[in-house]
Amino acid sequence: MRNLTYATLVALLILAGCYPGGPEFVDELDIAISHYDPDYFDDDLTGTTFEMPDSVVYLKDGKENEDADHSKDGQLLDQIRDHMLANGFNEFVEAEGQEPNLIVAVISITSTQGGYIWNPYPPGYWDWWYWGPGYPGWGWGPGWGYPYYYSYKTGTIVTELGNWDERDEEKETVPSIYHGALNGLLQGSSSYIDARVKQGLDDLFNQAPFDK
Amino acid sequence: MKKMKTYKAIFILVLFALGLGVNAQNKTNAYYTMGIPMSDTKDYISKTSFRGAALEFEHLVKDNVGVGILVGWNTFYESLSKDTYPLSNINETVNGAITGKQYRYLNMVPMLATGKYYFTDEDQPIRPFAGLGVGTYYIEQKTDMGLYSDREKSWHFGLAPKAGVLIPLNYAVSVSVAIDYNIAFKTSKIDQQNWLGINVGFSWDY
Repeated sequence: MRNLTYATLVALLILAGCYPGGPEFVDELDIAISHYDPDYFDDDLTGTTFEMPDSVVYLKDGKENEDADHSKDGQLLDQIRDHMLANGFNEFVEAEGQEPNLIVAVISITSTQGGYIWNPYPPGYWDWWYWGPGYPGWGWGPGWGYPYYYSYKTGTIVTELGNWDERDEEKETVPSIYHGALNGLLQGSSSYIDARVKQGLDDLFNQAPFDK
Repeated sequence: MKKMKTYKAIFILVLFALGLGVNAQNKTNAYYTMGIPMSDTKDYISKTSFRGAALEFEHLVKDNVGVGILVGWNTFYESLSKDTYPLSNINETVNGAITGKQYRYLNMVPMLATGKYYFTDEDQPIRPFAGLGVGTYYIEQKTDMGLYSDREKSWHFGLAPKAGVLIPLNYAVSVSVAIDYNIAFKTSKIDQQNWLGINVGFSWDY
């Protein structure tokens, strides 16, 4: 019986050591997720104009990070602009009495202990879709709330498209018709993260509703 | 003299107990188990599981008939290449998609009452047997994507017909090779799971 006990223990230890490990590299945890309003994208969007923001909004640990490094803003916004143009939208050119059809918001969320919430099962799924009070500092701008996040060391880049044509001037809100998010662990060199962001944006804009 | 009688009585009791033990004929079977996914299990994870073990305690109620209890464990795992999945797979009302690598896990823990019939006597060089396990399967299904994990756990009623052979090495130890077909019926959380188990191990008689 003693031999049997030893054999069982050894077998259990070996099997425990063999438990499958999952991802091995940081970029294997990267995901791109999007959500959109089909009613908007079912329409013919030929000639639809969009306006890019001047800069990226940074949130850290749930608050706006006013000390954020904006040196990568141009690179990130250019990539998003290129994708919008490649998908047939026209960049808005300011002119007297003209308004863009869409406005773009780009939000970078980092947390030393945070991760962006994506829970595909009710009731969590729609959390990010709830409109909150107007974003501080935007003045007249999109009225959506922050995406929720939980504690983990992650980074998320959110691209929102707001339907400026349908803005509510009284409430000062803009309905969002598209929400795309890249999420992953904030680890690796700057160039490694840049490459992952670029790949993530490519993935995001290959998804519906742009893959028509 | 009285002490001597006591020793004698104890000796007789021990002999009697040992005799009972020999007559009772218990077996312990320890298996390394592989699992080949079938049906719905294969739809979710197509790769064979090489991670598994089972332990069975068996009591021979007749020379050729054993009843017992089996507890096992098999982990199925597959990592899927990066791909894009529509969110409507998760919720029909949601429009969108998710792109990333997916990691799928299935942990199966059968806890079965077993019955076996041995077609030959124990003094034969090969002892084919057939049997059936009936009981419950604890199953945990986990899908990881990015930093997110979807996990379902449930208890399933299930059964496992089994066939195999014992190859005695000596009076107390045999090599045991068996296959079983595990059927864990559907629950509200997890679909029916099926897999073919290949079991290789040892059987101890005592």
